[in-house]
Amino acid sequence: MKSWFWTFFLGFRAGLVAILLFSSGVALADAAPISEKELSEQLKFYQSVEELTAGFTQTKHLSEMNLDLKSEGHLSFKKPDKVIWEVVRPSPVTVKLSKEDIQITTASETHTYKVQEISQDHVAKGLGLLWPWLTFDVHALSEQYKMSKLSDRSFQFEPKSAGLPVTKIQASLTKEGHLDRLKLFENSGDWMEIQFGNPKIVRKKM
Amino acid sequence: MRSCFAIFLLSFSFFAQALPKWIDSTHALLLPKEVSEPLMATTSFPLFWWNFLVVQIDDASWDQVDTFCKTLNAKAKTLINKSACGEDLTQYRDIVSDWAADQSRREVAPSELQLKTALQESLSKASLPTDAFFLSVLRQDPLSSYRKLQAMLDSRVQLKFEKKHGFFFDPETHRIVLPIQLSFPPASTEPTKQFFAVVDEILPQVPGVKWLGAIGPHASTMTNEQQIHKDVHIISIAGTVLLLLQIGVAILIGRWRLLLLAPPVILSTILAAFLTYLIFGSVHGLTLAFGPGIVGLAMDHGLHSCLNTRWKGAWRANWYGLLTTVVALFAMLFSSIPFLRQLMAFSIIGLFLGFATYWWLHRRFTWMFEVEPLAIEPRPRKFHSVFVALTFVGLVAGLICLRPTFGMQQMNYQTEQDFELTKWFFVHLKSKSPLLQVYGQKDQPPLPESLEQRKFAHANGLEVENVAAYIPRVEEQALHIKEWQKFCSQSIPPTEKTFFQPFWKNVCDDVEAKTLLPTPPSYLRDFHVGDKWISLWMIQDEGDIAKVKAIHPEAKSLPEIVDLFQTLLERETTWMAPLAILLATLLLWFYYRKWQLVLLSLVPFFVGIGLFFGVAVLFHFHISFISLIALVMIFGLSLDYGIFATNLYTGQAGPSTEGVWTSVVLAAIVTFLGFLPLIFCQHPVLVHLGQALVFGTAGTILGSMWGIPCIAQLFKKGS
Repeated sequence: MKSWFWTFFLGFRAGLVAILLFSSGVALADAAPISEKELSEQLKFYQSVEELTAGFTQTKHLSEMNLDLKSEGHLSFKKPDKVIWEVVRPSPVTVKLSKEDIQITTASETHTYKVQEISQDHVAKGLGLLWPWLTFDVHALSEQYKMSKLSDRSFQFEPKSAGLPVTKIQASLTKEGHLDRLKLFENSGDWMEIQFGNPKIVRKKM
Repeated sequence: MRSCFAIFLLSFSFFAQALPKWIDSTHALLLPKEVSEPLMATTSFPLFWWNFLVVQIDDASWDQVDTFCKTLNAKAKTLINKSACGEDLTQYRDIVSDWAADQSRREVAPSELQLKTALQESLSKASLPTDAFFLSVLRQDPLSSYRKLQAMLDSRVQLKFEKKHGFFFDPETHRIVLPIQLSFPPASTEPTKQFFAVVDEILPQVPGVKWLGAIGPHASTMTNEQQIHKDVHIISIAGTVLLLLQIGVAILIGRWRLLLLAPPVILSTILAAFLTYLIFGSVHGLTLAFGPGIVGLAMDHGLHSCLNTRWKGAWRANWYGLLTTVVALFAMLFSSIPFLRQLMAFSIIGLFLGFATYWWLHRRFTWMFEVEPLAIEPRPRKFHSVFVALTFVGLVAGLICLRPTFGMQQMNYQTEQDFELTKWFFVHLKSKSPLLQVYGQKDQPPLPESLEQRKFAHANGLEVENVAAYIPRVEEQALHIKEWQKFCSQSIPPTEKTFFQPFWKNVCDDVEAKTLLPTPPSYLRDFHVGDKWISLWMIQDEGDIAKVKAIHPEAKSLPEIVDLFQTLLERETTWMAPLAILLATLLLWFYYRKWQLVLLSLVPFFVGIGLFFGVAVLFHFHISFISLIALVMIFGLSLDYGIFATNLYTGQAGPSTEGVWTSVVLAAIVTFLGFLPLIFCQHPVLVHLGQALVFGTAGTILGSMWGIPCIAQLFKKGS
């Protein structure tokens, strides 16, 4: 019962982090289906990435209050499965994810959860969606998402399984092929938009 | 016939759900007032409405148990108050909301910096993807006070299971315990049935989840009722068949007039129920179940008179038969158990009414009730004497070996699987049963008394769970509110003002200290019902019990309350049973004025009890509260038969030998056959009743037909 808040959004967050790794640009054009092969081609920027760090600014729009919550932070990723999502402003919140556990730290507390111990609903439907993204498993992605191309560098992802708090995710890439902007549309009508800065990348030595 | 009638009423009373208000079906009447109140706590306070569903899964089925839980919560939404089912706390919406609303009453205000940091942190959390419920919690409770409530609720759960995937799990057996608090008291079996129907509906959708059973007051009440319904259904059919058979036989042997004995006893029972209602204000279902069986003893007198219409002494014998039964009932009229008092009053009234009706009818319409006796006349045989001697051995063996257990748990039906499950579950309970203390009066706030209890607990190293653990006294609340409201005059950034609007409303609007009256907040409703409040004293050892009872003697644990019923009955039977036998013996002496005849008339009783005790020792029968009621009936009918049969050995002229034996044999056979189906039942109430009545009646008739002639012969030889 203690982990109810965190366990809820962890899977969701993890999915979000994964998306950040390869999507960019907010798409506005009509959606056209994209194949697994095409997606693989679009993600070639990340094929040899070993480590990645990127800053972000985020706006969450709460439709009921017509209120925008703004936050800033940075994301880092290290292959094969280390992800840190860190909100710096308005107040520090850090989420560290790995295959085994998830650690959440705020100014006043730290909670660590074993992935296996988190409620099935959130793990299976949230984190289950995360791992294909983290491992750039395009085949798994195409199985779990209905994918479409909105423009040259804009894509839309709609979860195939029901029960997730998002209806769709739109992502766009920069000219260089890394993540530029990401927008999540929640069931409640709220939305969240994240603008990423240029990533610092360490590539695999050939 | 009378037993079939009793069975009919028995089934009627168990279906008493739909009966009018004048029929009482509560447990209150089963216990003296000073103990019925804490027992009622189990059914009236929502704190005791928890049931534990037990399922078994394999390693791969965690998804399915989660689905089972969520579907159950959704489909039985109106029937469930709370469920500690996985990690999903959205069902605690009202509790979290009320808890957050009372934060400024409950807690010391934070510093300005602490509040600012908490608000910023909550805004950061809110910027993450969360659903509407979690967002609303952040808006109401930016200081995360719900965590304290979670910790308190967790500490209240007294289960020793490990927590896996949010469920209580036993790795050894792969069993999962799902605690579910239902939204209605255990006595309401209809919604309980609806709840378990939903469970049955969901289970086929989750094949990885194996259902093992449910433990708790609702589950137990429903299982008991369902078993009684099944048993009563079967015995009602058997009873009807036997009734028709008896009517058929009576017509076939040309003694249809015996059927005229039924209406007076039915009328007497109805009148007895009415008079009992006038005296007590209501009639308990159990009185209606067992009372008619005792009132039916009046039929012995009618039968005896029908077959001895030409003997004037028949009604004198009947009169003493009635009196000897009534003195036993009279002794039990002084029981401290209200149900026994009511049952005895009902039976005495019914017996007198039945007797008077038969007497008047037989005097006024003698010709109508005249029945030709059958050619029955028992002769003493050697094996009869052996049998009687063996029953006396049985009686002595029973007195030495049998240990009556009058506890209420003896009346609880459990399948073997439920028994094993309950045993396993209780091994995994953390602490001893808490002492329950019910307090409070109309319009009296509970906080002063509950605070005193906590002070006492603190000073004595004890732990008490009550409302004062959740909210401070009114004066303290007022101070807290004042402290918190200093933030209301400060300038708040627009984003924080808008986002945390529910929090500011809770702090800055017209906030007043709470007395918890008339309606407590939802997080305290488990402790409250009507004008009453409950405290739970957590007990580790006997020393703790002594400390609590020294200052709160009214505090009692549930096992203690249940045991009290047994203690009371044991205490009372130790003087009631000898007193009843003594009074009956004195009456018999007044009647016969010869000790030999007195002893002779008591033979059916001792043989009846002896046979029952002997069989009980051999086959390990349980002797319960219900057996006791059955033995009262045996006492009544055995003395009737004893008196009727002994009159044949008084040397007086008048009684027809064949008439007496016919009346005794017919009465006993009808009783025996009527109660025979009961021993094939599953529910202990019916089984105990059946065992005592079948073997007691068989012994009584054999005691009359074999015992009395044999012993009379012995006395004759002796003199």
